[in-house]
Amino acid sequence: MQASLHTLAFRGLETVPVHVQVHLSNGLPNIAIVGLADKSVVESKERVRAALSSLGLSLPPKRIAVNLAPADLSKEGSHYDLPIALGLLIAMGAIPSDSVDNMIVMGELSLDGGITGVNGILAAALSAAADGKGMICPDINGAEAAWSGDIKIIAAPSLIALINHLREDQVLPDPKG
Amino acid sequence: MAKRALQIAAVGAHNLLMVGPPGSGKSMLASRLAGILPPMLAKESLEATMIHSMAGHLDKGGLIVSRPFRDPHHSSSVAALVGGGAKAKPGEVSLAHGGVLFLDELAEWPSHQLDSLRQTIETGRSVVSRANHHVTYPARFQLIAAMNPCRCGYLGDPSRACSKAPRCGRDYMTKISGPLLDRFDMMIEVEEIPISVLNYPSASENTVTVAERVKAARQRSFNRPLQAEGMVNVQLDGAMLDEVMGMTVSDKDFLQTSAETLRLTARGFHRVMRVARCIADLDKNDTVERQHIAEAMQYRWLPLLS
Repeated sequence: MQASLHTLAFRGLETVPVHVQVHLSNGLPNIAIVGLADKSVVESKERVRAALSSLGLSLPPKRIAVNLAPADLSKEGSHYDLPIALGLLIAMGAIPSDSVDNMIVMGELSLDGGITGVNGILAAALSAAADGKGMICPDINGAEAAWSGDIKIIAAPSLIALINHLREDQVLPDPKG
Repeated sequence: MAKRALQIAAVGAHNLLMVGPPGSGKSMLASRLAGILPPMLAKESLEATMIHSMAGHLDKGGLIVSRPFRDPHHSSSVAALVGGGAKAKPGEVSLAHGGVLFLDELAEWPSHQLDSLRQTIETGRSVVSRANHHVTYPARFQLIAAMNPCRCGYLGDPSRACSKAPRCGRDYMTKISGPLLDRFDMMIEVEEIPISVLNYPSASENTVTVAERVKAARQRSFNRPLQAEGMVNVQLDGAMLDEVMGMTVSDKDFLQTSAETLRLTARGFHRVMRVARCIADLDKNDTVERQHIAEAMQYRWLPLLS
């Protein structure tokens, strides 16, 4: 099973589109993050694993490859946690794959499953708006994202709230309201 | 005179250097400038918010609506000032984008720091080099600087004359390179405040009145079709200046003779014109006249520096 999501890398105030691809295959259970990820991105692995575990979800006993494309662009920052986690959840079938279509996903995960704020959300939201996409971001950055104009924003305080929203079980409040 | 200069600088977003003895109120004047600056345009607000967000300085998603006022200490690193470091974060020059960068004790700043500033001041951008690419942050700010005229600070004060003057003053001043001094549109001497003024203060205008006047003057400049998109006077280039000045031939001749007498460079010449344009805007005049030029000339040359 596999999944693909949109996120962004920063170059100053400019953004570069990044695709997060998650692929499950047979083999010794492991998560490997590739795509010139620097230390903070590679550490995502631990945060994602812990966050999913605190939700009561265990990782599938498969060999998981996470690719951050384009693979020759260096990736920095902690905002890849959320797209990686969502990618895994899609690959596991826990959330529908079309729920994140056309959305830029950014956010850092804490070990208890909360979604913590990241820097640069306004620049990211402006970029998303220019591209005709929406944003999935931490709740604390929701107001900031709303300053970019009239785009669809899903601002979640925790992974469980986000999953429920994407499965349409429990809708999150609109940050613009 | 210093307060007047600050108002002019606020109208056109001009770079200003204040030279004066310790305790003359230079730092205080600079912080007061923040209170009289005209409000930000929506575009400026958005840009400043993006930069502060990228630097992690935005708290709770509040849009930046008042112009940033950054006053770094002269012991800051180059990366802190201009940007860079491990994560290519924006520096003070970018955090001051749309607002004011105040450098106190200009002579105490390491010369390599001031040199790295020169490029940024001219281009309005800060380029940070990384291993395999460059990162550019916007950095269009108003530079305000303060310094003492000499090491002890009292050059030019006959009651405190020290035997090392004027040589000591000249040596102190040469710490600031000519090209950097050339970046300042206006230079003023701030005089020591006599105790009598402190003890028996006279009525002075309050900040709100002054801010309103500055705002109205800046709006005048935006009413000109050439500057309708929010171009402040400091951004007017040579070709545009002629058009917005609207001078009579005799006033132009006056400008010519004065500029030649003071031996202004081309850059200096245009700077005087821009400052004169601000003075005329403050005076609610559509055209720039002789008296505006004369006043603008005053701010171009400091006797202490020659």
